[in-house]
Amino acid sequence: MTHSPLLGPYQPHSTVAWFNGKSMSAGMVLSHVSLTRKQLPHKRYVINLCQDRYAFLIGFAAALCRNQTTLLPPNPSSEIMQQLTREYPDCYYVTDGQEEIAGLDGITLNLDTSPDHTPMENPQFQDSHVAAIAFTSGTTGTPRPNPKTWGSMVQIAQKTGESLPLSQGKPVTVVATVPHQHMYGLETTIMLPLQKGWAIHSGRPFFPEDIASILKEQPSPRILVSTPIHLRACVLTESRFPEVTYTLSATAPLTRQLANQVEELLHTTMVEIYGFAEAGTIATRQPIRENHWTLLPELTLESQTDGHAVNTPYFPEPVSIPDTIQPTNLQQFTLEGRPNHLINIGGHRASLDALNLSLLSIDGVVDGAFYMPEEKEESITRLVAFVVAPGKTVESILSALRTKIASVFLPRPVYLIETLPRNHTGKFLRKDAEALMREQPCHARPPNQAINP
Amino acid sequence: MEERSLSDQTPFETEIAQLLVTTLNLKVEPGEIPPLDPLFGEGLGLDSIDALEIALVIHQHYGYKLRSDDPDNATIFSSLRSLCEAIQKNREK
Repeated sequence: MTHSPLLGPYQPHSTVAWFNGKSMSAGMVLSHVSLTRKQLPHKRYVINLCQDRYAFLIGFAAALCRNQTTLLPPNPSSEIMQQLTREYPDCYYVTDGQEEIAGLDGITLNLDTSPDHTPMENPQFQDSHVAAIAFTSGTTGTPRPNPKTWGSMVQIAQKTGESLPLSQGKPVTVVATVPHQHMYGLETTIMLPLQKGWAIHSGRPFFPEDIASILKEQPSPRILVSTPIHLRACVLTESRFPEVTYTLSATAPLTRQLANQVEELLHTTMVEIYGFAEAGTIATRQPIRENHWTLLPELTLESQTDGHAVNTPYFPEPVSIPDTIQPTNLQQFTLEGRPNHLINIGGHRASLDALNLSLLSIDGVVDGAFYMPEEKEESITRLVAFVVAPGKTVESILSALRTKIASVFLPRPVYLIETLPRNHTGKFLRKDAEALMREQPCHARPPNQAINP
Repeated sequence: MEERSLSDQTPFETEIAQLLVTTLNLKVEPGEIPPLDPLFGEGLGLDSIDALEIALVIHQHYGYKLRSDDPDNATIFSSLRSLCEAIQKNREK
């Protein structure tokens, strides 16, 4: 049975993280992990709600030491949390602040005390252990589990790291704007630095000015992990940025123009990551220099009846690729787009079917459908919803949806209508949606007022 | 001077409400955004993507760079009125 270590390169005194402005050495991190593992209850699953990246890392590593599996909910809505606790009753949560989950036991991490510096052993975990389960919204409305073994997560981190060559010697710090509770964030801001021996900055800067100031506090070389939305904001403000060796972006396509602007502003090399919750990162590219994506080493593409799949020794079976791709050779492909039923807003993915099911599950909603208007490049397009719900207000529908779906998918606006035009097969067609939007009164309404009460 | 109730928009609040509606493509009349209602979650229903857009447009129009480590940040975004007060306090143009 094979094992892989928590820390790729292990030197007790080297910095693994920056927490509250302090350098946390490998020895201190392992002490925190060791103290925390003793506090964890005897359960199989844990939902790690820690907002601070360092606290999340300690909770994640401590859970691994106890052979537990971290669940990564697709969004923090109360309905998703309730579904997960029903599916995984042997579960608790860890938090570093105010967040809690009703009906579950919780542990609050206290990392204020500096642990002692005694060199400890670098923990080794079984490669076959399911370290995390990422959930996708699926088409049935129930979150679909995607188990991630420790071995596969280590492989992905090491292989992604190979596409980011750095000169040896100087310690690297990773600053990230993305949350660590989904696959892209977990892989690039926790696993990648751990396996490459890079330091993790524990914060999560949000506005361009925050990103610039945290980057300035870190010594070079620096790596920024972000998304097209944050990078666009950085380009449009007049903040001054220090040199950033690599800037990673994922979750949505990056235009070549934006990639150019980011490279100029941050004196950086832009690297785009392509992946999805079912497989994790599978390919990278430098968008200014190449149009095609290159698979991580040892990955292969396979044709399927309705698209392509990717396979590798660390997957139990080939994993379908949700986007339409065109292979250019055995190792490379181009992205041709996303099937119409998949929605991506600001990096959050969902299937239209699942969103529609959430809408139809609301009491008093007789019929209804989400619709994605034509997307524009310069701004983020939001969904709209057409709803048949006699006597209900827009506000009550939005309140109910808020407990079911991530806020980025909340419709803007909700059109209350008398009947939803469906064709003879029951489908709601794009042309009918466009016609309904044109028919709606052009004067706007406040969100708490029903259109036909 | 015209007397206003707490729930009436000031002219500057109407200006910022107009900016929010245009920037975020909201289907609301600017004058109908209650100045004390929350902007995020319940209320106007904005999210973090909107927060970035708001930060950009405020910087472009008023030269004020929002920061999330600003201890007042939760207050700034709590309502149209508090956002307007923060802009007026920090604006550079």
